[in-house]
Amino acid sequence: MTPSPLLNVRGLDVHYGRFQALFHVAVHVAQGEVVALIGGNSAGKSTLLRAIAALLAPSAGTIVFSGTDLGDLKPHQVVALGVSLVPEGRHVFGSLTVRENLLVGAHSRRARNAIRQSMEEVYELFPILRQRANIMGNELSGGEQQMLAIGRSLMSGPALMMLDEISQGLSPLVIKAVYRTLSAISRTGTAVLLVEQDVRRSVSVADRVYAMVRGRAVCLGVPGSLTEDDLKKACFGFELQGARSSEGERS
Amino acid sequence: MTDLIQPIVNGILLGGLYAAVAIGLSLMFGIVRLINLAHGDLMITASYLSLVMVEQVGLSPLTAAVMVVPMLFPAGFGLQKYVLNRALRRGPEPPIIVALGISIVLQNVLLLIFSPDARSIPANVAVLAVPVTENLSLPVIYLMGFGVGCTAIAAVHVLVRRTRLGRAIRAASEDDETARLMGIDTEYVHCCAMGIAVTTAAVAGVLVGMTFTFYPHSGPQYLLIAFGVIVIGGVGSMTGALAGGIVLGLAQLVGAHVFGPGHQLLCGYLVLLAVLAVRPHGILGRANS
Ligand SMILES: Nc1ncnc2c1ncn2[C@@H]1O[C@H](COP(=O)(O)OP(=O)(O)OP(=O)(O)O)[C@@H](O)[C@H]1O
Ligand SMILES: [Mg+2]
Repeated sequence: MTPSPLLNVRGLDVHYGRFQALFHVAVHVAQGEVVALIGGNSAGKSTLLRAIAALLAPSAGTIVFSGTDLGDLKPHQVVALGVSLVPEGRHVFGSLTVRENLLVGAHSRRARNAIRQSMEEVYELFPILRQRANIMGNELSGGEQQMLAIGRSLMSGPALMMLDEISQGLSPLVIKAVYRTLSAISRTGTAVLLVEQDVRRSVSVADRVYAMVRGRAVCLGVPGSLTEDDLKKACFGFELQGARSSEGERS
Repeated sequence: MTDLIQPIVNGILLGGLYAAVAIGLSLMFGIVRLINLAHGDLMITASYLSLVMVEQVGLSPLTAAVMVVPMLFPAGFGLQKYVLNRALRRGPEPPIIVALGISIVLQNVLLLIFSPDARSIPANVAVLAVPVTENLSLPVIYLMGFGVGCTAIAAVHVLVRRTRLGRAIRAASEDDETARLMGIDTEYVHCCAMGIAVTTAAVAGVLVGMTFTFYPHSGPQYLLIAFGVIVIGGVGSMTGALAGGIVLGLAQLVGAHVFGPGHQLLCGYLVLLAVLAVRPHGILGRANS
């Protein structure tokens, strides 16, 4: 493990009202690392990403990014620090053009100065967006919207990019293309925290893998040492070794 | 027939002023999705402030306008920041009630300070007219209203469509959460939008105060006009507000000319209903928004 990870989440609890969605989650991501977080429906994956993005206030635990405690920050301040979330379901601005969507992605003060360069980089990564620059977001295909969502998030110049189920509802060919760009993004030194239900795909690009089951995250280790059976077992229905040991304080 | 030309021209010119009355409400209602029921009262407050500047301080109406209009930006910004944004956290309805409360408070404060008498901002231009033909002359104050109204519409249009703040306003109103994920402080953006909306209301208030008489309770009357304008023109469309203003102005003045002054408001609202029957989303409104 690196001396101090880029993102360090410790002992995180998140509640929705009285319902506890996350239990003592500990996850870390090092500079430039690609980390996959896999797990079935309702495991709490999106909840974790949304808590890191400060859309949800944790009830316990700490989230430290690059030495800064994100505890009291608002979402726009977290973005300004260099953490960007590509939300589940893409959420492209349908009434804005592709170009405007990208410009909105560079809203924060830090990103504004590099706007031309970032846009050029995004267009190089997704040439289709350049062709569609003046089309409304809601006129794009699902794949194009996903590319726009990723490109828009890149416009903020993130040091850590979090992506929530980017392959959902896309054809295999498009998924392949999106993942290729993901590798390109990671090669520029951007750390990636990738949430997927598609175990095989996400694990194939990851440096490290966490599994999440019913609100608890367990580090499974490095992909090479894991068989597909291990992963399936870890994520779908089976009690985990690691989880059991840290389950002392069941609510 | 020739005697219809004057009301037609006046109606079109009045439309520009009506557009200025409506543009701020349209910005908040159509884009930020907040119905500011105090819009008319904020406008009339600006009329009274200019009146004070002219009568008590002794400024010219133009200087008074230049003083009053910028004062209303921080007022709108603060109103959103300290009052409406707090209400907005509880859901979309509380701000409507709060705005209604502000409307009532403003009316009563104006009543206390200024008494219920009819007032108007004394301005030399109010009695000037440019003769064009034997049957037609252009009242200077209406020309000013039209010019300023068109300028306000153009300015807000450019702001919303072409600037970083405008993009942020549109993004935040379409999807607040995603806008925040993009680094937009959506509450701050709403404050700016309200500041701009109230500034345009102040512009309209000064013009209305020089063109017509006003009372502490005139606000709701102009709120109704503003709603008429944006419903006719299309909610959230800036150019639509100008079209809506002109249609409403024409309907009122031509109606008053044909059926008598008592029918001015009725004619306006009949045309509003007719437009809604033919184009439910307004002249320039879009069906899907
Ligand atoms: N806004 C909310 N209010 C109440 N409960 C919620 C809310 N959002 C999520 N939950 C609950 O929290 C738990 C975790 O949800 P979350 O969306 O984080 O799961 P997920 O792992 O992302 O699932 P999926 O793969 O289906 O996206 C679920 O039981 C869900 O029902
Ligand atoms: Mg999810």
